[in-house]
Amino acid sequence: MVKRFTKFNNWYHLIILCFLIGSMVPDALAQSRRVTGKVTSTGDGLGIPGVNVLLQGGQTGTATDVNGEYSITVPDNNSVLVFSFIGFEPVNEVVGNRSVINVSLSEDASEMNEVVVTALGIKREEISLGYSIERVEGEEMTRVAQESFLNAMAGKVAGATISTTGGTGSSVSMVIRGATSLSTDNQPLFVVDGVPIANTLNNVSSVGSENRVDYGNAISGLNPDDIADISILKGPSAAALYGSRAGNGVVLITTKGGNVDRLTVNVSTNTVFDVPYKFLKWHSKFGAGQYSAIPVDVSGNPLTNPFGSLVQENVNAAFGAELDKGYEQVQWNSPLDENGNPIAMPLVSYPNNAQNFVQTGITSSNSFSIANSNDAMNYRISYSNMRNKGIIPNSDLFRNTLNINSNIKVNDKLNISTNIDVSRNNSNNRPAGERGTNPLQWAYETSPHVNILDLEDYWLPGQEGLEQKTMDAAYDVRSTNNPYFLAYEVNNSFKRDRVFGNVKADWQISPSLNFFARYSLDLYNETRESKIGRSYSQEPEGAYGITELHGLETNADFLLTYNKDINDFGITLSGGGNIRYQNGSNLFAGTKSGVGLITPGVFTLSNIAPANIEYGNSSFERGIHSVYGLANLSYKDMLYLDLTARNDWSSTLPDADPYFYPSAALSVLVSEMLELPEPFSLVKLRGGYASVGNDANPYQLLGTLYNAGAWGDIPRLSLRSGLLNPTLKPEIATSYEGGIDLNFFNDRLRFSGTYYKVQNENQILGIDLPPSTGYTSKRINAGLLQSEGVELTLGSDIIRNNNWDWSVNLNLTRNRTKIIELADNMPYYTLWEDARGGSWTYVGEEIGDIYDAEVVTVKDPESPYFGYPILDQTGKWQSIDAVSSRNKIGNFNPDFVLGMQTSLSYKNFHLNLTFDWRSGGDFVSQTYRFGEEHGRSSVFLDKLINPGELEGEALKNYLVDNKESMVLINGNNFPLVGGPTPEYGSYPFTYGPFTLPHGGVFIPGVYATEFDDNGNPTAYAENLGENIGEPGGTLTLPYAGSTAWSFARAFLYDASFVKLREVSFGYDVPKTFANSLKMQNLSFSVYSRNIILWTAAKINIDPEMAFQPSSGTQAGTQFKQGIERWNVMPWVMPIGFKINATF
Amino acid sequence: MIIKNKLIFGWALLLLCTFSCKEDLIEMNINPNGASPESANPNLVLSTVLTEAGKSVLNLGYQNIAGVMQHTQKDGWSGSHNSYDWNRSNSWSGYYAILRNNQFVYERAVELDQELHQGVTLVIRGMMFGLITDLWGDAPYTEALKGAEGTPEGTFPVYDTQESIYRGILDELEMANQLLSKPQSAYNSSVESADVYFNGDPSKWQKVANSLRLRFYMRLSEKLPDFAKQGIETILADPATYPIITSAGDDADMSFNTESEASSWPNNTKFDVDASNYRRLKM
Repeated sequence: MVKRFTKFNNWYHLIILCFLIGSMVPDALAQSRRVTGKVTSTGDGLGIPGVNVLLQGGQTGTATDVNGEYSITVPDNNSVLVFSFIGFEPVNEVVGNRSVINVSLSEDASEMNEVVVTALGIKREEISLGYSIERVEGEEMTRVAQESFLNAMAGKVAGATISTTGGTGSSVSMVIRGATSLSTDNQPLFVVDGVPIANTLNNVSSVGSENRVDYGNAISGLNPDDIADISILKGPSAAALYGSRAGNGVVLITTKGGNVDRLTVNVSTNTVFDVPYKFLKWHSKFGAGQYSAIPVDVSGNPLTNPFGSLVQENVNAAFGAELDKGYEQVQWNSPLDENGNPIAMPLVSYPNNAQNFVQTGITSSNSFSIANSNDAMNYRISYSNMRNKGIIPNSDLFRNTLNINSNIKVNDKLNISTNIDVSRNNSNNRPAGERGTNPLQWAYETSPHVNILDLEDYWLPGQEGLEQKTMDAAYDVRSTNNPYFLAYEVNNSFKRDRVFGNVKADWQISPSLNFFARYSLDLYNETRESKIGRSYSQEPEGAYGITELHGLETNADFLLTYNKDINDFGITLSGGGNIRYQNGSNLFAGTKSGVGLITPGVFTLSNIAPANIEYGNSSFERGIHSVYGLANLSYKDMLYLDLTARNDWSSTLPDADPYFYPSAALSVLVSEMLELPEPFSLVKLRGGYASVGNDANPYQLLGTLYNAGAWGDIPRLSLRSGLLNPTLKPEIATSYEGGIDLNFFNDRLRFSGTYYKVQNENQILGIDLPPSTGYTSKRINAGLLQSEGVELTLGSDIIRNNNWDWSVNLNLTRNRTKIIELADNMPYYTLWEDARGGSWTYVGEEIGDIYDAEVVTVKDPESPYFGYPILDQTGKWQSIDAVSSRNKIGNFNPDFVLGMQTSLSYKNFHLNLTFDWRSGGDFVSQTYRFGEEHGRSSVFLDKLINPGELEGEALKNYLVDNKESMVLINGNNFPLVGGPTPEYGSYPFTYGPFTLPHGGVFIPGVYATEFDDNGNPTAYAENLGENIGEPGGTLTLPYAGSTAWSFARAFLYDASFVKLREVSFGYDVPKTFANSLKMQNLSFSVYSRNIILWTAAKINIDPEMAFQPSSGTQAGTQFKQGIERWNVMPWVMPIGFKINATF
Repeated sequence: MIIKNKLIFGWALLLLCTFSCKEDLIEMNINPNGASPESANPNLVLSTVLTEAGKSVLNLGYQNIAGVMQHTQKDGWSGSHNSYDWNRSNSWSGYYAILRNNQFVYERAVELDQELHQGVTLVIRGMMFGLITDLWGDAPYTEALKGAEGTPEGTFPVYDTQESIYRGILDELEMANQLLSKPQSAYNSSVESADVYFNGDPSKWQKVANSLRLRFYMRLSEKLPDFAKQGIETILADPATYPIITSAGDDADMSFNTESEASSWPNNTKFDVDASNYRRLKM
C-alpha cells in the first residue's frame, strides 16, 4: 500500500460501511404467519443447534438455536420447509395448517459422512475433502489418563510421531509428516476453539552449572477432559488457511460445550500408580577404583592397586576390587574402634541402589463439570486438577484448569459465544535431566559398594546445610554427588499461569450469507526458580536464579461466507482477514556459573555478591496481517473442488512485503459416479496441491550493537559478528498429496492410503563467512528439503451385534526427508555433534544420518589381516575423525511406524488397546558410553572375551576362527580379550609407571611395525594373544583404559520398539441402575499406559528417550534426536483406576 | 441493532487496518534489545575498538604467539602454546573483528564529517592490517570488511600481496597524519570519552600515525630500499608536519583497570580464581 488512509478518511469509510451493512439487515418481515418448532436428533433425542431451516424455492431461511429450536415465517400453508444439517439426512415438511413443526433428523448412514472440523473451524463432511485429515474423539483422550493429551494421541494418528522426551511433565514432541525445517522445532500449530496456542518443544533452561531442567511444553496445560474432538490437518493443503505457522500441520481442538438438554454434572476421578520395575544393566561386582585390585593374600602377588587400597572412594568409576569376596577395607562410613580409628569392613555389593532410590509415582486427576442450556444460552463450566508425585523423591507436578464455554443467542440471527480457559501448571521441584544435578544419574553412579540407603540422610553429620554426604566427602575435590541431596536440595520450581479464550459473534445475515467475527487471546506468565544447595560438585557454594517469561498473542479475524446451490452445483465462497499480534519477554537474574552464594541456603538475589550476579532481559514483538479467501465447489455429491488463497504481511520480513500462497484440492467419489460391485461401498480419489509461506523470527533483518562489557566506566558497544539479512524471503513449503479411500461391506472395512511430498525451500540458514569479511557468519535463504511418505490406515468392525462389538484400526506411516540443496560451500548440515560423532546430512542424503569416527583397519583385501583394527603402539584403537572419514553408522528415523487400536465390547464391558510399533532407526546411548567409561555397565563386562585356558597360538587361532565376533568390529561390538580378575582371564599390564599382574586386556588386531615414506604401514605385528607383553608381541592395557569411549558406534543401538500405549478395561453400570442412583451414567475402569513390550536394543533404555532435550549444533530450537545422555527413567508399570459419573 | 452495528463497525475497522497498517508492522520489527547502529554515538563503539586493539597487542607478547616465539612456556595444557599448533583459535578472525567495529566507526565518521574520528580509526586500521600482514603475509585488504554489502567480492575477499597492503596502509596513515594535524579544539567531535590511550589528544594520535609509518617503512627496507628510505627521510626531515613519538609519554598505552574480567590482565588471579592459568605460564 503506497497510500495510507488518514484518520479522518478511515472514520469516513467506516461510517459509510456501517450504514451499508446495517441497512442490509432484514430485521422483521411481518406479512405472513410464524411457524416454530424443535429439531432433534433421532439418535439421542437432543436438540441440534445450527440446522438450516429453509423455505423451499425461496430465499427465506433460518437456523436452529443452541437448543435446536427455530422460528420462521411462512407465506402460506403450501410452503415446504427443508431441514438440513451436515452429517444428517435432510427432511422436507409441508407446513399445512401447523404452527409447531418438530422434526427429528437421522444421521447419515455412511461412516464417511463424518463431519470434521477443518481450517478456521469450518465444519465439513469428510467425504468432500481432497486432502487427508485425521480425527481423534475426545473420548480417546480420557479413556486412559495421561498428563499431556498429546501422549494420548500416540499410536492413533497416521503420519504423526508423538514422542515423550523424558519423564512425567517433560516436553512432548509431535511431528507431522517428518521434520521439514532445519532450524525450527517442526511442531504443529495448536488451535483450541479458534485460539492459536503458543507451544514450543524446547523448554529447557539451566540455572547454575549442569542443572538442565525441562519444564514441559505449554500445550500440556490443557485438561484432556475438556476436549470434545481433535482434527489433525496434516499437510499444508489442509492448513493453507492458517498461514505462516501451519507448515508443520495444525491440530484443531474443539472443547466440550453446553449442548445438553438439562442440567448435567459430570464428575470423574482418576488415580494411576507408576511402579518402576526395569533399570539399566549395571553390575554390582566391583567397587570404586581405577585398577582392578586383588589383595596380596589372595593373588600371591603384591596388592594390584598401586594406590594401596582395594577400593578408591575418590574415584567415580567402578574398576576397583571385586565385591562379596570377603575382602576388607576401611570405608567412608566405617565405624570407629575404641581408639577412634576406623575399622576395616567387608566390601559387599548393593545391587539394588537405583531400585531403592526411586519410589512409586502417583498421579491423581479429578475433574468436575456442569452444563446446561435454555432458550437464550448454554454453558459448560469445568474445573480439573492433577497432582503428580514423581518416581524421583521430592519431585511433583500440579495442574489446575478452569474452562468456561458459553453460547448466547442474542436473537434469531445472532449468536455470541465465548470460551475461556484459565490454568496453572506448577511444580515445587522438577527433577533435572541429562547429567549434573540429575538425581537418577547419581543413583546409578553410586558405587556398588555403597548402600544408597546410607546416603538417605544426605548431610554430613555436624555439617548440615553445608556439606552433602558422599563416599568422597573427606577428599579435597568432590567427584561424586549424593542423589538424595540432589533430589531434596536442588529445587527447580516453576509456575505457569495461562489464560486463553475468545469471543465470537456469528451472524446469519440471510440463509445463504453468514458472517462471523472473533477476537482471541492467549496470555501466559511463567516463573522458574532454581535453588541449588551448597556442596553440589559443580556449584560448591550453591546457586540461585529466577526467570520470568511472558507471552501474549491476540488474533482478530472475520469470515464472510456465501453459499448457493444451483441445480446440481453447490458453491460456497468465503473471504476473511486476520490480524495477529504477538509479544514476549523474559527476565533472568541469578548466580554466574560456579561462583555461588554468600550465605549458604539463603536463596535470594541479594545473597549474591555483586561480582557474581548475572542478569538480562529481552523482548520481542511480531505482527502478521492476512486476508484470505476460499471456494468450495461441488457437483452432485460426487465432485468436490476446494480452492484457497491467502496473502500475509509479516512484520519480520523486509518492508513487511506481502507474500501469497494458494492451495487446491479435489475429491472424486467414484462410487457415486459408477455402479460398483457389491463389496464396495465407497471409492474416493483425492488429490491436492498447496503452498504455505513461513515468515522469519523477529529482528532477523538488521543487527543491533550489543554491550561488550564496560571498561571501567567507559561503555563499550560492538557490532555482532553474525550478519543478518535485510533481504530475507519467507520460507515456502509446497506440498502435493494424493490418496484413495476404499470402503467395503457397508463401510465395515475401511482403507485409506495417502502419498505426500513436501518441498520446503528458502530455509533460513546460518552459513560461515571468511572472517576477513569482518563477519563470521551470515543468515541466508537457501536450501531445499524434501519429505516424502505414505500413510495407510485400515479400519474394520469385525463383529457388531447386540452384545458384541469388536473393531480394529491400523495405521502405518513411513516418512523420509532429504536435503536436496544447501547453500554454496555448505556440503552438509549438522543437527548435533556428540560422543565423537554426530548427526549431519550431506546434500542429497537423508535427515537423521548419524556419523562417527572410523576405526583404522587394514583396507587391503589381499592382506590376511583385512578388516583387522590397526592399533597404535600402546595397543589401542586408532581413529579417523567423523568428518574426514565420512563414516556413516546409522540413521535415527524409523523405517516405519505402525499403530494399532482395538476395542472389544461385550454388553457393558469394554476393552481398549493401543499399540505403537516403531521399526528401524538407531540411537546412541551416551549413558552406556559413560557406563562403560565409568566401569558400571554390565554390558561392558559381558562383552569381554574370556580366553580361559587358551594361550599363545591356540588363543590366536580361536580368535581368528571366530573373527567376525572376536576380531573384526561389527555393529557395536568392539572385542576385548581378558578382564578385571583371573576369573575373567585377566592379563598383566604396564600402564605409565605401574606394572600390575592382573586387570589387563588386549584388543585383537594388528599394529604397524614398518612404514613407507608417507607414513603408511607396510608390515604389521599381530596383537592376537601371542607373546603377551614381549617386544613385537601382544600389547596389553588396563581394562579400565580400554573402553570404546572414542567411538559413538560402540554405543549405537537399534531403536525399534513396541509399546502398549494404552490398555483399559471398563464397565458401564446399566442405565436403569444408574438412574436409580439419580445418575445418567456411571462407569468404572482400570487401565495402564506406555508399557514397553519390546525393544531391539535390550539395554533397558526407552529408545523414545533418545531425544535429548538440549539444543544441537546448527539446529536452532531442535532437540537432539537419536542420542540420549542420562535420559533414563526406569521403565514403569502403571496401574490406573478411573470412575466417571454423570448426574 | 446497536449491538450489531458496533460489531460491524469493529470488524470493518479490522478490515481496513489489514490493508493500511503496514507502517506499524515495519516499526514493530525494530529490535528493542540492542542499540541501533544508525543512531549510536560512534564513541560507544570506538571504545571497544581501542580496548580490544590494546588487548590483542598485549596478547602477542603473552599468549600463543609468545609461546611460539619461545618467550613463554606453559607447564600444562601446553599443546598450542609450546608447540606450533596453529588451530582455528590462532586465526586472524580476532584482528578482523576489531577492524569490523573500526570500519563501522570510520564510516560513521565519514557520514558525520568527523575528521578526528576518521583519523583515529585510520591509525587503528593501519596498525591492525600491519599486524595481519606482519603475521600472515598476503591477506584480504582492499576487499576486506565488506561482508555486509553482500556482493560476491565482499563475501569472498581476494588476497592482496603483502607489498600492496604495506603501501596501502602507509597511504592511509599519511591521510591520518593530515586528518589529525589540527589542535583538539578545532575538531567538531571528541574521542575523549572512548580514548583509553590518549584521552582524546589528536597530537598524540598524529605521532602514532607517523611512528607506525616508520615501522612499516622499516618492514619494507630490505625489499624496497629506495621507497623505504625516501619515506623515512620525508618524515624525519619535517617534524612539524610529521611529528613522531619521541618520549615514553607519547606511547599508546592502556591501563588495565581490573574492574572486570574483560578489563583485567589475562589470567589475572582476581577473576580467574583457580589461578592455575597464571601459574602455568612461565616467562
